[in-house]
Amino acid sequence: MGIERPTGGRLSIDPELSSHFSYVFQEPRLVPWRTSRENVQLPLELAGNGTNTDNNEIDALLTSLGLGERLSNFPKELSGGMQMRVALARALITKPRVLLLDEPFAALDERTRFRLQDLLIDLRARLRLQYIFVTHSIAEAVYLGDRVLLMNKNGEIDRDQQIEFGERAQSVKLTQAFNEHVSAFARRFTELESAT
Amino acid sequence: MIAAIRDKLPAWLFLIFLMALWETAVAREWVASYLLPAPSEIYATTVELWPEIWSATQSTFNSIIWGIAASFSIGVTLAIAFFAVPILRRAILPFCVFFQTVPIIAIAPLLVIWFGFGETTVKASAFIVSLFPILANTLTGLQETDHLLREMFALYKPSRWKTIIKLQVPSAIPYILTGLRISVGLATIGAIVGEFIAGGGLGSLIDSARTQQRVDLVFSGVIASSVLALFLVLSIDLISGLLLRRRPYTRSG
Repeated sequence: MGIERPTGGRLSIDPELSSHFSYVFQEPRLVPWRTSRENVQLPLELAGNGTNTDNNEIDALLTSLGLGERLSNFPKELSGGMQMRVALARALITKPRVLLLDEPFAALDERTRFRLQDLLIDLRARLRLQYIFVTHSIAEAVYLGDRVLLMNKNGEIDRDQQIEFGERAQSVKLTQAFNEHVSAFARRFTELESAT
Repeated sequence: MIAAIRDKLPAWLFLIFLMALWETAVAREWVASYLLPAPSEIYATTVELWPEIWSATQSTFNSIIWGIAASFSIGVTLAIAFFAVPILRRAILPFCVFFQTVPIIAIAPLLVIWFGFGETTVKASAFIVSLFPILANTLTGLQETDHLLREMFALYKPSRWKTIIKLQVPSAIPYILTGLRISVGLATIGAIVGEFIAGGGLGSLIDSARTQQRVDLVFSGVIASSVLALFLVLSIDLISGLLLRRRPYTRSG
């Protein structure tokens, strides 16, 4: 993606996918003097085809993320969850096939966080995209991931777990299967802690 | 409303006290009125010679606007050029800083030699003193863009020019407005200094009143120039306020 330089290891990207990545930061990182609509339009403008952008497409995308009433608002007029949804829309407008998310919901309250988790799951199905999601929350990882990788302090993969649920909805979090996954990771956490 | 009155009231009361003291001091001949005319006398002179004072104020205002328009457009353009081409900045900026330290009163005679007596010299003088604050502030604004937003922009690999236009320049707008606010004050000084030497406007009104020993008229001219400067600063504040309310140009999100 070109923000950070790798410190080691090997990174191989399917050349067919390489131009279909989008990135969502830990913070919304919206341009303060641009409205929601203009913020979503930014990637298109920067890529060079901003002048003939279909405004309807942007509006439809924002509306599908529940921001239909907020098209002309500036970021400071939006709540944290709304700002994050605008940031999601900005990542989605380039029609990515892989979405990279770096703890995007970490700063949000629990309720908003749950809602955005479900939104992400819904987007994955609807837009047929994959995501790589970094999080500090075990429950979030288990809920959002088909495959959860646990990284230790040295940045090595400690655990690699396939996770399958019939359908992902917040009620899954109450099931035994879900909680078994969570406790398995939690146990491993404790072991890693006591080992150091 | 009440709070605003309570806030401003002491200053107004003090002003009234000062005026009363001044008036009394002149009336009782504690100070000679040919050195310090009473407020009432200054007021009478201002009313009597209003057409002259008003036309002088307009002429000075006109020169200031020319000077500011020039320093705004040239200052912002130069700052963007310096920002985009660092070697230009390193080559030229030191001379701008040096130029800025030369007192305007010292170069004013030179301006008369170049541009002759009259408005051109006055405009040039207003321009020279007001250029640097706009240039320096704009440059600072361009350089202080939020690095989180810069990183986000970089994701989309825009051209440098696009980054400047869509990120750095808008981020610099509050700085440009601050520079403009400083510059209008300085441009007023520059214009009046220019008029002392090249003639015209309030500068020449004050100067000729001095040679005629009309201290009352000197005061009228001084008051007119400070009211003019105040008007200009408040206008910039008003424009800034309206602009920033329409679009929140701030450094970071």
